[in-house]
Amino acid sequence: MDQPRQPFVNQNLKFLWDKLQIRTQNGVIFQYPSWKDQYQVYNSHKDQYENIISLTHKYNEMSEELFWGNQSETIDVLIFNQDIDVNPENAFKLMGKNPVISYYHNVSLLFEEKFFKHIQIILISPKNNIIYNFENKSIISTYSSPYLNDLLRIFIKKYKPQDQFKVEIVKDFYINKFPHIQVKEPFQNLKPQTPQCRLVDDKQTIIWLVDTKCLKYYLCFEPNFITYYGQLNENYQKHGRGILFQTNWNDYNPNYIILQGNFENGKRNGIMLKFSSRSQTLSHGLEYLDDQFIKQVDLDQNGKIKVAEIVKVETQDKPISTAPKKRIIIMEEGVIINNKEVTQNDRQRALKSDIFVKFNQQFNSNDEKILSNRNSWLNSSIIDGFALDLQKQHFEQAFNSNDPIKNFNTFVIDSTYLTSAAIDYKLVTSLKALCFEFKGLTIFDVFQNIVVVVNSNNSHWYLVLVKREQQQGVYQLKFHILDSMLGPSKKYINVCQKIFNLLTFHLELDANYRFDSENNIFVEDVQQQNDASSCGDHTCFFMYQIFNGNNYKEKNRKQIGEMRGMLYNLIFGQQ
Amino acid sequence: MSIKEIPIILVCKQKEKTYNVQVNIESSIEDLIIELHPLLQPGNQQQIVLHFGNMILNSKKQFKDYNIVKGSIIDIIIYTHGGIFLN
Repeated sequence: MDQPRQPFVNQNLKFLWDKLQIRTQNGVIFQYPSWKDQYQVYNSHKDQYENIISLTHKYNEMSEELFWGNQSETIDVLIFNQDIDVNPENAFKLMGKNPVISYYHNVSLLFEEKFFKHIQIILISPKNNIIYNFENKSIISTYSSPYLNDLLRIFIKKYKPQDQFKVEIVKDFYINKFPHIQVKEPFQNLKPQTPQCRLVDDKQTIIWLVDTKCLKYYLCFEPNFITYYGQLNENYQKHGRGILFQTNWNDYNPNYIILQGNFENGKRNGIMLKFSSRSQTLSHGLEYLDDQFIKQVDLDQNGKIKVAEIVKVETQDKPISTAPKKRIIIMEEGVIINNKEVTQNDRQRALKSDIFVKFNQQFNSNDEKILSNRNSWLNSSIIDGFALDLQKQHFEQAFNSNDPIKNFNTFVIDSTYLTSAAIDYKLVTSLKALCFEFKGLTIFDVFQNIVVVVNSNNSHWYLVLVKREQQQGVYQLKFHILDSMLGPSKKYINVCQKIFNLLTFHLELDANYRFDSENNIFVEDVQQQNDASSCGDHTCFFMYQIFNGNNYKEKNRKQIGEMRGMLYNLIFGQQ
Repeated sequence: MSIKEIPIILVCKQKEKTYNVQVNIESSIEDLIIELHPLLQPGNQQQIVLHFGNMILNSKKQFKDYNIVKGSIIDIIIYTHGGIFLN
């Protein structure tokens, strides 16, 4: 979550305000003055105030650092002026010549709204401090002077008496030492946290407080397949920095959206980084205003705006003026290798018109045959597609129930996790989409049941149900084997070890998580198959029972026999 | 290269191949699969499936439907029809 804040953009002038500078596409036009520039102004008091001027300079840089690094909502600008104590009239009169004030004056001209929201100016002198808060329209001062308002005139173009700032005179010094950055404490063995369920914007939301020690970050699960990790306001609306993970369902296929950026009172605001997946591949930026999509922005790999030029997204109903160019050039090591014409034969072989994608799996008539014939083995497309559908339904049912926290308890990891290293990031994506990368909270805090679909040597299907138990200060992962052709627990050691290793690696589980080999493997007494082809059916049945909160040990041959029909309707039925 | 033509990278771990591909964002996924067929020569019971991020690409859709942009990496997975088979 230490993604830097995006530069603020002045759309009309194509100016960007970034850390210690205002720039255009072509270069920096205003830069925060260097220490030397500031120093010259006070050269007459070189020895006396050298240290304090140097410290204010460092402080201002630090304050900018915190703001653009997203750890602070304001930039507190310190201005040192020793004349405030002895000759306030002159001090305020000459304030406009201060190079730091000049820089922020430019900020206020070019980014008026952002300036008033995020800048607080603090005048300090050997005896007094005055804080100018533009957002709250307040002046807090340790002394009273008719010239206090003079500084406002520098930043507010049309200063109206009725808009006078509220002046509060305080006795004590506001600052008697320079603020220091709060150092984050490392996480220690946190006790499992308790979530709460709240109605936020009329939506039931499960809210986990992730970090109580430092910045308050929350993990929220909302209906409509939205997971949010970030900051909230007092009404538990998204507010501040956050990452939004959303799954949109279109024709039974998921479309994953990952957006990172600023939220204000539950609404997306400003430029959001859009990731093509959680593998850190940044696709582009999207600009929002009060949750309304404005435009798409090109970003470089660091998330900075590439050019101020805005690319408008084409709308679908816009007619395409020219016919698309179809030619595809494929190169291997710099040499074009598809220079032969594709023959009709190639085309026919490649085109299988009955192929369709559903539940993020590809199906065709062959799968229809499998589901119509009890002697065929179920394949991974069918089982993984079913798993995804169960997960989807689980999400919906949990939020429609009276107790979403209790009922939102199962997460499935499909078979490609163990069988295809090529696409293992698919799981990482979906897991990380649930924010398990964040310290202080793991998948096992949120879900009691982690279901792993296992394909054993391309010849057998079974389920491994992973649960966490706390024993003597460490977490033991317990592996429950749901196998319709069960064997001794020894048989499953390798698979369980592999699952443990992969979860530890991908979820960055700490050293507190243990796998105690055979002792943590429990072969469950579940329905056994009496043929050579129904392991997939049994696996789907066990999964169905777990997701629906039923007893997976239930011996129900009839229902298992009906699984294939259910799967057929799911995939090939007109729902 | 027109704006609609973008360079992308195809990776097929099963065959240890990496291809640089120039494709029109309005081309269909199917067009690319057709081009890949003679190169990867999958068996009769096999088929080429393209993955982008966590999505299986629908062969009937276009590249632009998936926000595939310049430099996107697409995985080629060769699936075996008929599901599971014994080694």
